[in-house]
Amino acid sequence: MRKMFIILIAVFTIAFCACGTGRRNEEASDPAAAAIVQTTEEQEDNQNTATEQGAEEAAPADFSPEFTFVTTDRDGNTYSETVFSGYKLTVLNFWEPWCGPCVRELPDLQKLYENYSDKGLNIIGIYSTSGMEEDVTDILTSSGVTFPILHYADEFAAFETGYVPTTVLVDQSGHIVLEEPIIGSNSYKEWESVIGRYLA
Amino acid sequence: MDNRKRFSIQAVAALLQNANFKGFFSGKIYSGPLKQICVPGLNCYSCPGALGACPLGSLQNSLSALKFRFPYYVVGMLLFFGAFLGRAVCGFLCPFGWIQELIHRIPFFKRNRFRADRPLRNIKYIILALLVIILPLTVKLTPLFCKYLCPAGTSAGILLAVNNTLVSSRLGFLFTWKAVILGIILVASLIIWRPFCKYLCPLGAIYGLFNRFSLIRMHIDPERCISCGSCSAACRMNIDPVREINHAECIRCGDCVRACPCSALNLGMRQKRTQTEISPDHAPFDAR
Amino acid sequence: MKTNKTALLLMAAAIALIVLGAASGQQTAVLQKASQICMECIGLG
Repeated sequence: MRKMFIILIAVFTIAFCACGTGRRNEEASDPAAAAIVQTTEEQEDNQNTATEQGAEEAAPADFSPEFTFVTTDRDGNTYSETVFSGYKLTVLNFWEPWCGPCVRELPDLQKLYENYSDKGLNIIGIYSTSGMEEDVTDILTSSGVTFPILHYADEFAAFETGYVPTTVLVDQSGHIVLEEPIIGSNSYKEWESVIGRYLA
Repeated sequence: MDNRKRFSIQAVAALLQNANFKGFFSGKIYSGPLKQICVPGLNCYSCPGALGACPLGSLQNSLSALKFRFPYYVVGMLLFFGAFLGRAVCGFLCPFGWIQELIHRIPFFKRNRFRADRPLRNIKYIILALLVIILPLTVKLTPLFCKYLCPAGTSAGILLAVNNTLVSSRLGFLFTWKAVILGIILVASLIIWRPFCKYLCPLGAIYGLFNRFSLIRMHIDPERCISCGSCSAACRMNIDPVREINHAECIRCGDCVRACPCSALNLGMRQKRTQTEISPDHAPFDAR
Repeated sequence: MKTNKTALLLMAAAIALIVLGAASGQQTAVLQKASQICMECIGLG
């Protein structure tokens, strides 16, 4: 019995130590991370072309989205990746109606949307939980949300960090701005400082 | 059943409930269909290896949804495990219980019996009522026990954070609070046998309510019992099996069964009566 | 034995509750909440 005890401790110790070599080496095999890392290079190229053309508005020729999607909002209107081209920065916020922190940051996101939409900010909320539509309605009403709320589509799986809320920033050309998605909720001030860098 | 068998069952149960081994390397949790099923013990869904959902976490989440719907499914699973096994779940299937037992084997100052022991056992019922049921129903969208107390969740969270800088960069006061609680429980486990199970676990509190009539439970043969007190002395949950058999604090570890010189106790569906049912490696008069 | 019947009755009731819950899709809700991590909900904050 003592032998089994020692063996089990050894197995768990090895498994635990193996954790340490996990994520950082895995970026190559993790498609989402690879996509995000890849885009920052493409994004720089596009920004150079944009400044060359002196474009202040979204030039359709520049629109080269990293990913495409088709989905609907709660009223049945269809949305696709073209929605990015109309705004300097789009905040894609993945949330769920059972997730307390997700719901609690919605009023802050709404305030952000109200204050910065004239400066080119768009916010899109995406949720995947089914069977809780009443809850979603209640949440959106009491938070006063006016920005688009879309249903989850499989194409968003590239951003699946496994955590909610997860937020991804997309620029006018449909490129993902940050190297890593933002996981966890944030306060109004924190969001303001995040978007401030890209809306200048 | 001897102690090695129970140990093996605990080990296998811990392994099976956390068999998503690749999760430990990728830092991502399992999200397949098995997660629809509640495991019987305290095994946080956020553990990278976890294959099932924690019944306590699922219960809190169901109760704290904005629109209340009675959680038939989760309650049904809890009722099933309770009615079938009672706190044998604790003794055989709960990974966190097993971890406390493993820690207790480490040589250290031991003090398992003390006066505050009995009154402190009531705390878990308060935790059950407040943090698992009442407050989630009122505070909404917050599984309070999971958020502020559960050490199994903290352990799982640590496994996630060591792997992932996105997570570890977000750790703040809440995590520190929970890490301190986990630390206290682990240190206490050196001294006291299964302190979390005794004083804090709301899941154990639930299952304990079924102890008296669960399908698998303790039986005593009064004709064999000679009132020697060996069982009571052996019991690390500090119960007297003769006077309080199937007490809500009994986790069915079987120490008393092994300690009894007359084979008067057994764990099972029915009482063991005949001579042939007595386990052969059990010496009749094993005075301690 | 009388008490054995209690256990079996409760287990049958439990199965009925599970089936009832599954019929209204509650197991999907369990799955959804158990496959995405709300960090603050488990004390990672």
